[in-house]
Amino acid sequence: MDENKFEKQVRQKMDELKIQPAESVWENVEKRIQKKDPRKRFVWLFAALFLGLMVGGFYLSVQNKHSANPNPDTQNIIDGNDVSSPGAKNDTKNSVREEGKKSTIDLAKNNGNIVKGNQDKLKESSKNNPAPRLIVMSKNYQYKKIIETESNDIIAALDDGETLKLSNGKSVNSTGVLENTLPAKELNIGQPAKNFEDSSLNILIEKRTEPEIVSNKSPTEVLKKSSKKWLLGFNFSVGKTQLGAGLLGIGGEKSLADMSLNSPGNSGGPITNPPVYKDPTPRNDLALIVGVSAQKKISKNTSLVLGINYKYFSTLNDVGSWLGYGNYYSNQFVTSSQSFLVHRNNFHFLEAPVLFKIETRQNKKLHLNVVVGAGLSRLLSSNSLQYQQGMFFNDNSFFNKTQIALEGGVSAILFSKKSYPVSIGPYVNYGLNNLTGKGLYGGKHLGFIGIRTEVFFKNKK
Amino acid sequence: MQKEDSYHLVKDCLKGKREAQRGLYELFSPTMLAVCFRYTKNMDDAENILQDGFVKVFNNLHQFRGEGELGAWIRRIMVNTSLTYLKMNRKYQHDMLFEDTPLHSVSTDDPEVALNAKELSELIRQLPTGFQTVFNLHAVEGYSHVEIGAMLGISDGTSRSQYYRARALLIDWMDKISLKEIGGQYGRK
Repeated sequence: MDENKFEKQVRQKMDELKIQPAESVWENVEKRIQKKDPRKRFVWLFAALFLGLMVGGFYLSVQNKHSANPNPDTQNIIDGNDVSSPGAKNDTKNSVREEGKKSTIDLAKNNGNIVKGNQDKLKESSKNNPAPRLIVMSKNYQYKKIIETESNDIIAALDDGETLKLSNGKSVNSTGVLENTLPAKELNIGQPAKNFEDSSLNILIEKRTEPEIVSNKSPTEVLKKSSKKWLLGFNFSVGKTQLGAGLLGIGGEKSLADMSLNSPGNSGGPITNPPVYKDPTPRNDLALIVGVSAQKKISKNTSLVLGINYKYFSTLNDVGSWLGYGNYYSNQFVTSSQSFLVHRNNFHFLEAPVLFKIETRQNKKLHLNVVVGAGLSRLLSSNSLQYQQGMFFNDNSFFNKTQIALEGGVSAILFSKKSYPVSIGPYVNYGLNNLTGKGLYGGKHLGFIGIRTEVFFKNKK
Repeated sequence: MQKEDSYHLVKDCLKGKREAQRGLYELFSPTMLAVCFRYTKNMDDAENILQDGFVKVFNNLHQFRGEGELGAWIRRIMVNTSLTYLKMNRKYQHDMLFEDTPLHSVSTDDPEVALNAKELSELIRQLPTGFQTVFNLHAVEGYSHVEIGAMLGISDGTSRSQYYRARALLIDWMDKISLKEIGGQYGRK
């Protein structure tokens, strides 16, 4: 700078000047620095909700493992409690008689119905149908694992210590061991028992230590039954931010003057170092959505999905030199030796989505889900830059902090027979309202396009 | 203030000690209010900037690395907060649209400044906002015209032109117009 006498005196005199501020200034400063950052409160709230849902999901999962209640709707399951009940005693269809703690069952069955009968009927039935199998398991472990069953299989769920006496005089207990007939070690776990006297009867022993679900219904049907209750799950989506005025962020290109909060200053006069400007338009970059959700069946093939998501969007800006404080940058570099910096504009949202999941191709090998819905989200924080008069700066007061988005996608279900089926497929999310009314993001909508993965914990009964 | 003292003061502020925060504020607020006052047209605006500036100071104190002087660091925050305030405030926005005027002749006057600090500050505040801003940034804060150009989004030539016009006007006022005629009232509304 020109170090004339005049400038020196001005600087010296100005450095001497002190003005005592009003007491109210400190009071306001104190209030503002004491005030807890609302963004932190949102982050803690989100963390608490996430933790709560995870703990809840784990608790439900553990509860299900130890659930002792068989499904009374399943016709071909023999319940130890049912067989000992007075109603069951006289039920001719059920063909089960109580003998103290032991029960006897006539193993004749037709199309999933247990019918009181005799060996002749069983043999007659066996001519047309595959040999019926008796599947014995402890009540404590049933319904935890899907196993393939035939329509005429009989499933017996017994309490620990309870024994089922077969019509051939043999007995079987809840471990599936045939008492006094064959030592347990000779029974093949998961396979029809060999060397059993009555060859028309196969006994399938389910390994007790493995949690299991027994049903003759397809996995989808089992899931339908279980979906009468809320199922917990989590989702993760990765993709790209779509910033624009049109659908999926297409269009809405603006001129430099439109993007600036004020027209940039003109550069005239004798210019010694002509500044090089870069277009301040933000470029789309990474986007992530992660969350927890709960789904419930509301009709034959439609589920309601509610949840809470953390959404992250990002864009990039080329900025010039840092101006010494916070997020203040010029959009020019003034000498050829300097280069532009890349600033990542981060947007952190908390979202409450309401989605409808429609199951399609239920009877096909590959199940597909179509998901559509909307989400209400709140901007937690952002370091995004605004632009004015050749300078970038951060000011989140411009943003519409509450956003409504439409979202949806299609997903294929993988591992549908497992306890934790995974759905994966393309997903889009489109903000219905403007991010801001002016500036770089003026009239633009935030969108997402990417791949969504979702896992639900089956809650089977 | 000794560097070590400011180090301890910052450390205590970062621990959330209220007395230390109050101490830091009391130590620097009179000087900083004078800085903010010089960029604005009234005391209310200056105090608003001071308030915003100190909130930024306390929220970003962890970024102060102790390499320079604490006062200089706070002052830089106050100057930047003042510039933002001017750009965002409707009252000042229009005056912050710098017109390009060719720089014809540069005054070589280098007069003695006979005014005291308050009087000079008052006179600077009477300049049009654009002149006032560029004059403060160059003559008082010591930024180069290239730096000012980057800060205000104008060319360094425009900054230079604005500065010399402000300087000439100020010298003219000092020569020809008495402070009473200018009528600037120092103090709050």
